[in-house]
Amino acid sequence: MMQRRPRSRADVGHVVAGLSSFAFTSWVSATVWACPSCPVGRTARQQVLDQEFETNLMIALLPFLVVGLVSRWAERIGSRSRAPESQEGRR
Amino acid sequence: MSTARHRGPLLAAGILLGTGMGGFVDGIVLHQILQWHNMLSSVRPPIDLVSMKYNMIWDGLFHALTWATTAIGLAKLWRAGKRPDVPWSTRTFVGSLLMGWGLFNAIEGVVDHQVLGVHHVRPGSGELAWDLGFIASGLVMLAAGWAAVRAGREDTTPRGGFAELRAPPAPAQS
Repeated sequence: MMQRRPRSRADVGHVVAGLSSFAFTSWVSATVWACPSCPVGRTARQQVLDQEFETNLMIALLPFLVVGLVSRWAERIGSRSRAPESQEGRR
Repeated sequence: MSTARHRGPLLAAGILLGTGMGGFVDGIVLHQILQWHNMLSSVRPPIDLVSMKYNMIWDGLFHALTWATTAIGLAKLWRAGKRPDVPWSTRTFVGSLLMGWGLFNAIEGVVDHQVLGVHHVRPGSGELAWDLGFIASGLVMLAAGWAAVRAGREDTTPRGGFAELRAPPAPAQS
């Protein structure tokens, strides 16, 4: 049976140092690549707001609005045509 | 057994959920994985980082609208499920899902691709063929959904309509 060597303080230190450097590297690379407020990101957001935002928003909204109206129409038609009251009324 | 005849709430929920499901397939597969069909790619071709981010923001707004449509559809489905007069029909629901997806693709294809020309399915050579194929796929789904919804007219069992079959037998009276 193998005996496990007790971990020394140096081993624990290596693990902590490794994890810390991994976390730091991940944070730095995420900060660099995600670019939430770098000049490129700020420029893109500003251009979205400046370049016909309302018109573009209406273009994006239009198909959803049409489908919403059709859904509303289907709800009304489907609730009206086969009501149980009318079925009973025919008997 | 009671019969349920008001299909409208289930139809409305299915159409909205179909639009949402179709919109997410569009956004995930076409916009993000394949990098086609970006929201304003004909107005602002994504050929540099700022333009790519510009289109990415508009794609995000498209996803936000898709999410809102799905949420409204889910709320309507929940409410429909509580009503005893709404038939819990698989054919009606699946048909309305297909109708919603197909209708959205057809409308989006005609308005955004052909009339306004703000983007195309796959920009570049042969974009008209891709655009027409997109509209055709929408019309096929719409027709298939319509057929399924029509077939579902015969379904009249409400949600939980089989509950009496699952219930344990009543104890014998002495």
